[in-house]
Amino acid sequence: MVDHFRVNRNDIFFILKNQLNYGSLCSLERYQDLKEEMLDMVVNEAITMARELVDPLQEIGEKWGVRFEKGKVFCPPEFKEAFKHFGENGWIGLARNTAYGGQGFPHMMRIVVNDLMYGACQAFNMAPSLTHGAAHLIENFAVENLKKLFVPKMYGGEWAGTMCLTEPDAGSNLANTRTTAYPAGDHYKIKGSKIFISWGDHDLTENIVHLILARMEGAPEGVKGISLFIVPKIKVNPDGSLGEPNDVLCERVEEKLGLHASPTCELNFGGNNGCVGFLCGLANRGLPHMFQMMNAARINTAVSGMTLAGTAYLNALAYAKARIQGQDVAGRKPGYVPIIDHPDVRRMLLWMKAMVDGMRSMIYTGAFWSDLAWELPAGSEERTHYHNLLDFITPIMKAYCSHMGFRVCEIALQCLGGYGYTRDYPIEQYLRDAKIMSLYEGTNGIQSIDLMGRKMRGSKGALFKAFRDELERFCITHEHHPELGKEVSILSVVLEKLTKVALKMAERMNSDPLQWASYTFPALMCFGDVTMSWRLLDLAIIAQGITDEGQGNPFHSGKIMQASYFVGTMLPLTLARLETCMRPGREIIEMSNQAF
Amino acid sequence: MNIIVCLKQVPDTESQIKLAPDGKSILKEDLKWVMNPYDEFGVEEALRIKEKFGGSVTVVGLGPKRVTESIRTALAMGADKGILISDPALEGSDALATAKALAAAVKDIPYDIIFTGQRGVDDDNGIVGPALAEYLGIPHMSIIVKVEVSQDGKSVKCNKPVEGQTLVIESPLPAVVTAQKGLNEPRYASLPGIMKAKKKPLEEKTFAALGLNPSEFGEGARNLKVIELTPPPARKAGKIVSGDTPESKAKELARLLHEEAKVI
Repeated sequence: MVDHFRVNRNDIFFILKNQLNYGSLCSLERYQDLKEEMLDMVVNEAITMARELVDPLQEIGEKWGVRFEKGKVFCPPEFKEAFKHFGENGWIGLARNTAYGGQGFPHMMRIVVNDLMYGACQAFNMAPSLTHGAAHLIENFAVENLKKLFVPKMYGGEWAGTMCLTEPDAGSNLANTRTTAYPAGDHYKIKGSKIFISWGDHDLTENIVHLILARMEGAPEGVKGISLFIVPKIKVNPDGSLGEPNDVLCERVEEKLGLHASPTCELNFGGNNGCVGFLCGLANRGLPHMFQMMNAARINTAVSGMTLAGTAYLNALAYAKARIQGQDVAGRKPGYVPIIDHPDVRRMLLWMKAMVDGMRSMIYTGAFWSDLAWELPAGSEERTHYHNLLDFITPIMKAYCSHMGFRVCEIALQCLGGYGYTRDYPIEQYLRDAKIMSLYEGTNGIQSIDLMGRKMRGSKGALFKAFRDELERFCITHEHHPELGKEVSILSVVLEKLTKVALKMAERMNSDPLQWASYTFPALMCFGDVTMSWRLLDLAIIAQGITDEGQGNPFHSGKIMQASYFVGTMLPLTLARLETCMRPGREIIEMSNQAF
Repeated sequence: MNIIVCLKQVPDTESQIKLAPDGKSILKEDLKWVMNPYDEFGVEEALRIKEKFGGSVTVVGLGPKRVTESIRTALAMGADKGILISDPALEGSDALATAKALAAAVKDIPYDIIFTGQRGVDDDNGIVGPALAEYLGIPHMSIIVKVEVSQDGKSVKCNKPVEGQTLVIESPLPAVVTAQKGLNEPRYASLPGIMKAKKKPLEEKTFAALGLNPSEFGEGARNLKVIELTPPPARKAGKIVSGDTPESKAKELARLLHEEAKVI
């Protein structure tokens, strides 16, 4: 089984060029040396690499799994080669500062490239992606000599990196972090255990640099006493050469539903009192520092959910075109027909197509905003606007795309009938791999609490206002559109209702927190449906414009019909769901635990 | 060493090829165009020779403006400069005319070895490389899977697969070598390579600049006329042999081959 990974290049470029005009990023000061054709080349090269270099790892990794022998993790040799390639050719630090070995491309390019690499092999691409995240934290917060010591080697793929947050009693609640750092001159002695550490140990590189949350001895209880530390697996000499092992031991490797080639480790730090760490950033500011990375990681989780859905959908589509079974329900063709001719199969395919395109557009839009939020002149109103938009949409992207991405994989499997359930086809693996996305980087429940609480009320409602303004402007501009005005008006009605419900819920957070918390998740999903409709209608209006100029083809009519289908079938359900968020019934809270 | 690589842009295999209404050509809109895969082997080999002997690699492409994308890809892989032969009179030219234009573009640049792909994956002619050598009056070795340039840089030894055997041929340089699959594994363009590529020179040359006569090119001057293009017949659906064990599947397959396909 090869060539599992499927992606439609035209879909990607239609969003990047026609919808977002991503070449316009080159006018930002940080990207003055870039041109749109260079960004195109990065995307095209990434597609080639994803297909040729990374896609085969999906099957190799699944077969090999992770080998854990005598406290060490061994990975497939092909993974080691691919990781080296990523580092040496600049892919790990592609959007990072050139002063530390990065390539200086726009932040959004990382998201686009991750779309392709995660789609080709989620388990593998976590390794370079985590290495990037860890190195980026060091680049942003550590002192200069530590940056020079660690960051270029990590972007260059010589060393890997991890994020160590979770402990047995500190999962979603990091306030309970128990790992301790004891001051010892210019460094700290680290002692404690971390669990669920993705790529916590492996043999892809000779060193692994762990970024861990720990409490300094005597620090205040709770989240305000947590600091961030750099803890290498092997000690590093001042000249960058490797020294003795740093008393970091892998105690066990989890057995999981999916991502079998990604080692999820329990790590013990300082079991023999010999583990040295360095403070990264300010004392007791570990959580805010980590959250800078975490927000980016949440967009990446959305990417994973979406891209696994994308490749699952296209695999189902290929199957539906080839599989001959049953007769045409209206007798339009004699004999047996490919199952794509059956309306019920088409229903599933069209739903998946709209979901994938809408999610990809939502995520790329968020990624585009991230460049404007970080690279427009500091203090400008525009920059604040995009910051607000990005902050607001991040939990929506994370939870919606992970939740729906998994469901697209499930429907893709459905299209194959019994064959979809077998390992002869790649979809069951995509389905298993995709499930983690709703769990890690903050569960989807936590995302909904973040959206309906902190984000709704953040900056006195400015975050929500930025989002609402953006959508309202779109609706006003296009409500009289000759072909799609009706759909835009439906969106407009749902946006009004959503606004009312969301504001009401924000009030309820204080007055009736139990009822509020019972409905934050469905409310987040309503935000997702509305964002999807907005992005899909925007694509449709662009496609209609091209069609009106006589340049249209089935690609463009697909964009138009997927939008009208999504708006026509999804938004009525969204309206109903919004009603349920406001219902007076209190069963969720009032049913006794014994009654469950 | 001065190395030249000629490249052609062809529709990517992921593109769906559709016939034009005239029945003699294909619709070119909506196609994804890429460097001819056989030419990629040429670029890779040129880069390896440069890495060993020093010198420079010049990439020569021919066709509309979009061909610069493929030339830039070669520059991002590590080639040093690019030339695009672009002239409205080129449209519809056959392989011999193409070779003539390429010869005009390379004849004034110093070269020791010239690579082309052994054929374009679109038209499958395999003519341009040998014809280019003829126009330049130098030897050519076609369908080559191994290239060894001598230490003094004056000759080249090549392996050519023939009927399950390998023919080893040697030639003085300069010469044309047409690359076959198996010659090497082409590298991917790196991100630093993409960054550097934008600063590398890419020259555009018209027929006037090359001293070529437009009437010898294009549709009207073709020696080879396309009469008709037809798509291959649609493949019939396959059959998946079911069974609980490999043995029972094999048994069923044998039965089908015997009773239904009647081939055994």
